[in-house]
Amino acid sequence: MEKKEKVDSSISEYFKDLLDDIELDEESEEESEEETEEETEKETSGEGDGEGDDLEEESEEEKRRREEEQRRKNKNAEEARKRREREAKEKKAQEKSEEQRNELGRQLVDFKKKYPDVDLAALDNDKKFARFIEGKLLGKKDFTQLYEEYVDFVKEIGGTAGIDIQKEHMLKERSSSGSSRSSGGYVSGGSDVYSEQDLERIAARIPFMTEKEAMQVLPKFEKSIEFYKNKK
Amino acid sequence: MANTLQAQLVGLSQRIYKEWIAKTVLVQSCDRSFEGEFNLERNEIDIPVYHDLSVHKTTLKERELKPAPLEFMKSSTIRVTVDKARYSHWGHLKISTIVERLSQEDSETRKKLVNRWAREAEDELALWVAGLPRRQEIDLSALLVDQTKNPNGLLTPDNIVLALDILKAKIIEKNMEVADFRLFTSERFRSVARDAKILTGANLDANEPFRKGFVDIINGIKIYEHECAAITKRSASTGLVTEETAIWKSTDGIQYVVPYKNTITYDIPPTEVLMGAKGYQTVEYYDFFNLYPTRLYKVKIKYAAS
Repeated sequence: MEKKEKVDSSISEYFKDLLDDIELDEESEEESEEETEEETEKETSGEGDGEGDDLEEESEEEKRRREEEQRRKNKNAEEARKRREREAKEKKAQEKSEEQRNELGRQLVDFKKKYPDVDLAALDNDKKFARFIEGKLLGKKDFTQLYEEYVDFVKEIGGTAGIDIQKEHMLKERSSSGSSRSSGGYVSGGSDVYSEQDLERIAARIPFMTEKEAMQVLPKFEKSIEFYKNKK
Repeated sequence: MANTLQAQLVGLSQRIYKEWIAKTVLVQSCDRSFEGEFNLERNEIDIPVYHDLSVHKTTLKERELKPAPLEFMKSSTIRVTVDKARYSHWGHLKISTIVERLSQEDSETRKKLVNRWAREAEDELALWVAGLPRRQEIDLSALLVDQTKNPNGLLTPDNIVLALDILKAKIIEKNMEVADFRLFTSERFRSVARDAKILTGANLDANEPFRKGFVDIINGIKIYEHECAAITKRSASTGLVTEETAIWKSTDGIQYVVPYKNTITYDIPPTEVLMGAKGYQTVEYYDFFNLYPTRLYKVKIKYAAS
């Protein structure tokens, strides 16, 4: 039995609208209805064969009444069965939906660990990001991979304009206060050192920079190099 | 980080650029801005051009004031082809050695490179100005000639203010601002100004004294002292400057761009080094342009031999 990890319900509220809708399968329901109708017909016709001699004794009216009663019983039983089936399917869908939300929640928790500065609410409201991950959520790649792919994609097509894409998703209070935090894992634009990817990207750009541009990035760039040298 | 050493080299190139520029007088006085990214395939870069806005006139009395046609700044940049490069090879084949030698705060190797590049850049620029056509020349040695007192047109303490007045007048007659211009001379000009007792050190602007080469503001002109032996002629006996080509320019008189600075690797064949190796060189692509000829002059000055 797989152990289900409970995640914070507030975090799993994000991106839930992008999850696939889980609906009852109407086609299968119709099929089951048809099957039950066939069965009812069989039952009624079978009864007729076994009681061939008694039919003469009973009056026509009595026969019709019994058949009617039998049909009603069958119908009630059929409806009860359908209801049970529907309830079972609904329960299954609910469980699946809950499982998906839990899985998304777990992925968002992992994402938060890696990108503490990124504001999930801002990311959730980013229509471009929503379009980018549509149909990919809970697929082969987890949320963090999708986000990193998105950031890379925007940088690739946006050139220098795309460099600040991560800043758009930064938590407001952190990006504005400029508080310095030493971090061990991934370090984004708002912190003391550049991420490894950013460092490589900036290293490729520096030879082309003007004095002003270079002076803006060099202190942090040199600090980042020291950081990764010591980390080795 | 997989390649911190390589990234360090890139940062070093910017540091070297910053340091050698600070050691120059002439190069530092030029407009060094450019826009966009240097095109390494075509060697092209956009540099800003500074337009003069037109003034429309009318008479209010006759109510002729009307909207002028829209004036778009159609070409705020101009695309130029960069044609020059300077580079230094490193006598070490290990990147770690080069990084270590160059990145230390008091690295002797870097100091030598920085001094050398600053000197070369200054001399090259000064010689280029000295070779400008005659229409961009103000020959003070001819204009200061006084048949009785000064037949050779020498610059002396008696006529130094007149000489500066002439320089100012050349700018004013072309409807330009004298305040935009600066005069770059040898140390002999300072001596003459000192002898004339007009070198006061007063009227200093808050920033100028901290710029390399700044001497003083004399007669409303900012004077800078360059160290380019290439555009001076000296007395064989005293070593004093007897003739020089001074430079009278505005910031945008010369646009000096360095759009690419890097330390790159190249292959060394096995014929040079056993088994072959990787060599390293610090390289800069640069060029300079005079887009506004009326804002750059060479000034011929003669001094007494002793």
